[in-house]
Amino acid sequence: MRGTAMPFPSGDISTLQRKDMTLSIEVEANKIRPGHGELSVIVLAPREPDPKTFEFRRTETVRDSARTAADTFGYEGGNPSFETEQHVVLDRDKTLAEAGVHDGERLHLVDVGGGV
Amino acid sequence: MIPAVVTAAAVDAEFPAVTAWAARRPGWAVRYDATTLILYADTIHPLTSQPITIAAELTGYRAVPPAWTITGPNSTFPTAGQIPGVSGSIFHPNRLICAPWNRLAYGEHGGPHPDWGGQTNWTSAGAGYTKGDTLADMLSQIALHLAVSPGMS
Repeated sequence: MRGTAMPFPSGDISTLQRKDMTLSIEVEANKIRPGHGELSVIVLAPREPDPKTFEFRRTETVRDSARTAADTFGYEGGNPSFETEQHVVLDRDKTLAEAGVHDGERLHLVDVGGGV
Repeated sequence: MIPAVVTAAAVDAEFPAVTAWAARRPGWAVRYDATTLILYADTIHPLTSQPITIAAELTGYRAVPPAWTITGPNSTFPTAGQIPGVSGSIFHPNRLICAPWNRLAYGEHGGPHPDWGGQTNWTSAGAGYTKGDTLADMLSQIALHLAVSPGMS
């Protein structure tokens, strides 16, 4: 499909026009969003009843972002990673983008140290 | 030995996180018997649907870790599964949870680890292996490994 995107004069509505069809996209002007290279995730940690929201670079590894989240929740040491709501434990060596993490996703902080 | 009232206060402080964690996990329910200082978690095996009761006997907590047990029908125990990226299961062939946060894993309680420096060293013992410094963290670890357990035996 070909079309053209034109910003509305007010700056908060864009209109995509094609023959016989017009698609308007309204953008909440005042809502803060992470940049293209960032994503926002909601992290739940076992030791805290309430989740916390983090903004990470998409190129940041699961290992580093989970460490940041773990530190914020007060974890010391260990091998933190993220588990998705579908109970998939993310590969710590992948970036968040490579691991398929999407903006607004809920992730569970887990330790992947393993058994002995 | 840590007075029971001290343990009770520690459990009271952690229990909101325990109940919040269980509320986020469909099929899990937790209860605490303050008289016996035992925390129970009831769930089902994710593959076989057999009922499982997980118990943490908390005498001396937090000076020493809880004594964790898992019991299924006819005294069965979860078999070990493999999680990609995780070195091994916490479900030991000796039918115990082999983790620094389980009192029963230490040599002084007949467990396989006389090498962890004793049970009072539990928050720093077994570096690089499973880590759980609070009751909810420990339950999270059990759930993580139970999710890939192929069955009960």
